Amino acid sequence: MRKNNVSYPLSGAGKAWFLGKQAALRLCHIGIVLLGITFLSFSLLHMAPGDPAEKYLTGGDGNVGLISEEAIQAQREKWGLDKPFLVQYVTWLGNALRGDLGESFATGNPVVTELWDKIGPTVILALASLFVTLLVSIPLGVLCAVYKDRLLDNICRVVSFVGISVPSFLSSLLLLYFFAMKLQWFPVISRGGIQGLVLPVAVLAFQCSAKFTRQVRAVVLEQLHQEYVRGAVARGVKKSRILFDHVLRNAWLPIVTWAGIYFGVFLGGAAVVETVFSWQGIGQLAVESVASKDYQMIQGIVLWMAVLYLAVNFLVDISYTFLDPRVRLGKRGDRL
Amino acid sequence: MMLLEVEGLEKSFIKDRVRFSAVDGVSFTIAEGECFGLIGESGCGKSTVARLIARLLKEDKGSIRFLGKDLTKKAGEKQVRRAMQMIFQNPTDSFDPRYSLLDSVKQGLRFLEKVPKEELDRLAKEAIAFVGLKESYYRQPVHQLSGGECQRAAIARAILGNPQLIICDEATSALDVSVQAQVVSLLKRLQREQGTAYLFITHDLILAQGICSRIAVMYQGRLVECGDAQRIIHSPLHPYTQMLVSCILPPRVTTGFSPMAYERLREPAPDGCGFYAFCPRACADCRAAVPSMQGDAQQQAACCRIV
Repeated sequence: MRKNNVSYPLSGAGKAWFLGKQAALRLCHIGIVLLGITFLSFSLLHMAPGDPAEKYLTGGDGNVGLISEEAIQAQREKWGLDKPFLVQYVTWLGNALRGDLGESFATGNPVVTELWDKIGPTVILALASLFVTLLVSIPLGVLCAVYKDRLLDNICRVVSFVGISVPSFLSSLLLLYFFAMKLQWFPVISRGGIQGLVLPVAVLAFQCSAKFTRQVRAVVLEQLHQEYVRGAVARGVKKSRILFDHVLRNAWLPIVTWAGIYFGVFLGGAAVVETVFSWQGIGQLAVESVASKDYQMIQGIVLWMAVLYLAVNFLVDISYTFLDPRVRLGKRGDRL
Repeated sequence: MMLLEVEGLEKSFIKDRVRFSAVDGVSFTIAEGECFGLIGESGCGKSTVARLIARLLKEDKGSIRFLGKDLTKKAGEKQVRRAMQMIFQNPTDSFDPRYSLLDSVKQGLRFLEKVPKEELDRLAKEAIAFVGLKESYYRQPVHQLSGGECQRAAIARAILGNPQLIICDEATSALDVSVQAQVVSLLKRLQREQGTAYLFITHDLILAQGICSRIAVMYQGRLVECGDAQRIIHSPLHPYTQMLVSCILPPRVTTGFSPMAYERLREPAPDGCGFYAFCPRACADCRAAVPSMQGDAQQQAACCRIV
């Protein structure tokens, strides 16, 4: 790869100091946002109707009236539900900081253990989906921008429209019907392994690529219409060099931002796709937890998704510093 | 031999499903070391002519001969790139924001031919010094420079390959008058010392008179008057040029300043003179057909029957 030609007035030590300062600032922001999210989700769950202790002891609606009020009260005391809301929140937060997210109301297992078991499959699914999405969307988006309104662009426009419009449960069911039931190329229930991964990845990547291709196309087109590109054409610079040396380098920032957002979405768990393909991930766990009103687990999943989004955003922000030297200059860059 | 010969240049665009002619039969020549001005109101087709010559647009009809080579034919295009450069109206936007001043200036030559790194560095630094920018700016991103400094940087990039023709597309319009004067004096110095010719596109008549030896006035995609700059400014022949000249604001506004009215007097004539609807002296013939250029284009010629 060609060396970056930008030479900005920041030495190696200056860059490290700047990066460190940026990272510290972002981490402070993350801490505040995380506190807000956990407080909000805890409040919402607290306000939700129904008593978790009663639900746990009755195991559903069948045993209502069979469990004594004393037993329910004892269970409430055991979980600390009899204490004031703020005390409950602070206790939960303190435990969460120590890595203890409580026990699942449904299974009685520690939430952390249950989450940990489901993170692996979700990460595999997310990484594979993101990889396919990037592989498809970036070249296609760039080609559609370069050959705007030509055959390829028109075909991609129609396919993107279909991809955005068709809901994931429908495409999942269609793929299952044709490739798993009719052709029997892939298993109906994904139990890990490459074969089981193909169909869920195909659904997620198709839906995501439909949007991402259009976004890449738009940002590349915007750069292609810049005056500096016109100037380069007038100076006789080869089109491929304009594309790689100028246009794509300037288009990286939004592309990386979107890739980060999509990765966050995938990691958060694709509830519908995971449920349809029986993929044992966070998405499926979330659906089951909501169905069984497992508040502790839902709180754990919310925390996981919040941490995840913030972490991906943090990495994307830090990547700007490497991708765009102007970010390094910050407010100092207004004038000499 | 003429440096640039433009003959019967035509270009039309489609806007709202209607085809309209942006450049219609434009012909002119530029000699070596000459500064030729193209003036006219916004939307008259000046920049389209510049873009056609710089090969940013493809013409519908006509020929552009530069250094004896026909640019409308693909084969001749590449060989003359180094000899023709363009400077744009907005200096900041004409630079890739990711590059420093030195690297941006180097791009004037880097992509055209293989020049050793040290040689390219030396040439770029010479060009930057020529336009009067400090050494301390080398590593500075171009977008941090002021408008005037940015335009100087654009000139430095343009002169790197010793071009014979520089197309200045409203190159001074975005600058304030004092910076404008600095840029114009720099262009003049370049013309004097290196014999560079200019196609100077502007809507500022005073500026055109100050820098150009010959000018052409454009109106609705056609040249309506062409010739010696002093003659055209002091004794314009075409009614449109007369109206334009009458609108020049004197340095000290007195009660004597009275620009000619630019208002529609009659229905336009689709087959006739483009200025027919506004011309105070139009006759029946002006309505019937477009008048041809009359007179010597080197001295003074106009597309008008009443001249």
